[in-house]
Amino acid sequence: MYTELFRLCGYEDAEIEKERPRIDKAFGMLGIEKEDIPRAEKRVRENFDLNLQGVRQLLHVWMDELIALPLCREEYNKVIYSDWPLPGPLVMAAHRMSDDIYIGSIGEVLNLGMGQIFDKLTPLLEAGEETGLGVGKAHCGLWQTHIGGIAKGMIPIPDLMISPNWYCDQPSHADQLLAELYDIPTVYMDGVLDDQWGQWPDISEHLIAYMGDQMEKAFKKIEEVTGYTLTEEARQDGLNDTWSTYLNFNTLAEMVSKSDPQAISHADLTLAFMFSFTPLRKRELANEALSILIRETKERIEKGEGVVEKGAPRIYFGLRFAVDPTIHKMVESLGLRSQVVFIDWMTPVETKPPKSTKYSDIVMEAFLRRGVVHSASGGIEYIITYCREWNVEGAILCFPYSCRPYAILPLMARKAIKEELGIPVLVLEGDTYDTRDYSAGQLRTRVETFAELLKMRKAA
Amino acid sequence: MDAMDRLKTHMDGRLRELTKKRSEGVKVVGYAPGGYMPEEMVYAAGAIPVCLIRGGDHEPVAESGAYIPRFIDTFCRSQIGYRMLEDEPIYQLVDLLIVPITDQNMRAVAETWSFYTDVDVFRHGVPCNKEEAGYQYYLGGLLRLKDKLESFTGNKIEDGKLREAIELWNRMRSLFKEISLLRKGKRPPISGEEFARLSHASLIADPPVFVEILESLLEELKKKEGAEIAGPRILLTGSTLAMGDYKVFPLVQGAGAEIVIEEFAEGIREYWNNVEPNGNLIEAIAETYFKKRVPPAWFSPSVDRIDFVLDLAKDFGVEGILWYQLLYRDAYDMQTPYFEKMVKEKADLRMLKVESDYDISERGPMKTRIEAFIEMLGTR
Repeated sequence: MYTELFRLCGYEDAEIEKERPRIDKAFGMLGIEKEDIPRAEKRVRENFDLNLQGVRQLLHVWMDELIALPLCREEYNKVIYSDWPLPGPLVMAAHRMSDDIYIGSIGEVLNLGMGQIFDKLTPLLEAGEETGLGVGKAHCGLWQTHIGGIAKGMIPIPDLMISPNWYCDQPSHADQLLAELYDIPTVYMDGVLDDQWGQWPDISEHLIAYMGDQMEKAFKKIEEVTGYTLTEEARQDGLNDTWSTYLNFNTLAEMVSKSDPQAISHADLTLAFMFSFTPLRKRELANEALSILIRETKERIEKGEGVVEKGAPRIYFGLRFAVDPTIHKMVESLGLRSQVVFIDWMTPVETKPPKSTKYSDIVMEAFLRRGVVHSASGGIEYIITYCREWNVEGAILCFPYSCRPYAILPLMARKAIKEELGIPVLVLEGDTYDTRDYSAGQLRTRVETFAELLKMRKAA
Repeated sequence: MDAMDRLKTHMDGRLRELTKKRSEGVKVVGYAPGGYMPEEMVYAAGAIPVCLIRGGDHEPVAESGAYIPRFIDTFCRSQIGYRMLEDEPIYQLVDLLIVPITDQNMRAVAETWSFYTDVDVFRHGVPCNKEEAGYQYYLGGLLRLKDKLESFTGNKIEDGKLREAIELWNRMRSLFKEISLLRKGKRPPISGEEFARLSHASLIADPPVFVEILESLLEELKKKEGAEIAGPRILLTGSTLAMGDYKVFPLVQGAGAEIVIEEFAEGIREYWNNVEPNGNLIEAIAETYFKKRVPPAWFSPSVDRIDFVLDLAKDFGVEGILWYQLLYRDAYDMQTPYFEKMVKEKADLRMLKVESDYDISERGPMKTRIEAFIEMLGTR
């Protein structure tokens, strides 16, 4: 029933046959049924550029992860879960400790698989709502999905959860809820965003050290639970895995930023965005997919082909949608070129050598160098840098309404951008993890008006 | 009661007093509630600590919408609204605002005040666990706070002054504890609402005057016998109980019950532990304010809080728990599923959760739910 879908996602027939028993079992656990397949095929065809082999391969990587997740208990000796905003190198390093360990960012895998591909996330979100992250309380959709997957029995109970609490509050509260309800060992990685106003990009050493210490605590707990030692080699491999994937993504994103017409859709790019934060069973396949897509994008640029009309107004767009490709497609269909998106690009602050010398401190320093993660003043400065350096003509500050740390920022940033750069800014309430209330159709009217405004300004 | 009358007179004149002192060059240091900002340090620096604790009004909540998206805790949005409305005088007197960063909602207060006002805002982090690294971080934050207060006021926080302040606050905490414990009996001489109002007054009043009033009040209460509580005895708990947000008290009383003890992350002064006034005083403050403090729901783990609430319930003969939380305070909302389960399993206690966005329209449904809950308790 699903052969064609897997072909669309870059699988060869022989591979589909080989994987069929695993796929059948995984789909059974995930509640994917016959009637879900045509919808997924339609969604993939309509929203992803399947003429690009690299895009098909990106889908392949996520489909692999979706199948591996429910089966992890029977295929691995130890199972560890985490989720965004866990820094990539930590999970990648743990992933490199042994082939015997499954470590996964479960919400992200479910978002990409059940959301982007199958458009069947609602049962998971609802299960999260029923388990304690109730409706109408602005709880994070990622953590509703994270909880929902376990509560629905779609994915197994892990041996350990690593709860990342340094940027937002929801992970530790959600994992504490799971820990109490299902008796799951959990290590909480704390963080305190207390640097002073205007301090970014100068990040306090005590802040880096504390957060680095929390990362070391997680490493120790992973060693204790798995019985494996985290070698220097595994740490370095973890860092290299994150970095190599990130650089590939960054190269691709920058090519798209510079292309006019915009060479490929941000819906396609989003599939690659999460790679550097997520442990993947087939990292090589992911990097290969990115290399292919870089080559294909270059070819498109050389041919002058693209997905948005040449000369379209250039904007900064402040979010990537983890579960729904249709919103980026909607923005592009309205003739706006999202020249630079979310946190894709590395500001000059981030390319400087770190002042930290310890592994975990270096990782956390890199994290805090992203101004939007550090503070509101850092976030404002960061977004202004994006807008200025890319010389955009407008900005859409789309923010996930249920993300408290990110939601602090947009109204202040709008005022600051208008005052400093004098460009139009649209603040758009949205959600990256749950689009039941913020669909492309619902957001379209406001974006359409903004697009008209930018086009009129450009024409004037 | 004489003491309460004296307190009313003092509070009536407090704004004038603060304004006068400020005009004489004394700095007014505002701070966010939550029990992590040691007022003793501000006092020892020769400044006046004033807690931003107003709440319960809808207008500031609505006003905050111009400055921050609405999905932030109601109390925290109010702290932005009160300042921006410019009609709450104490909020306009603040020279320096200290915000212990406990969660993202509280960080929102610091960030918006920094961006939209000319008030100097100082943040110091409160790690959400009680491990040694967390304690050291908090301690480091207090040392940075000390530096900030000294440079801001121009006054050195000397050990002698700090010890005096600690002793004054220790006395205040001890008096609060004694008064609170009087509520264990069948005829509490002070109601839940009176106790909450007293706690709120302590966050704004002149500390020496307030301690003197508390001394008198305690003596008066010891001699007083309140009315016998006929209905269920209730423990009130939740995220924030703000000054002005007293709506649950009459609803509980109207249903025939009485709130005999409360536990809040913000709004009720922490009075269970004193600071050791010897040795390294900043460390002693960190020990009490961080290590000994009952962890709020935003700690991970925070199950100690549940044990503490259960102990309180047992000590005060509580028959039901009323959980009062504010909209979008996610930590509290997410703790309720297992909190409710644990209090039922461990102490056979029933709990009702109510939520507020400081909107008058909530009162009707809240009244119905509280009445039904009290009635249910009465039939057990």
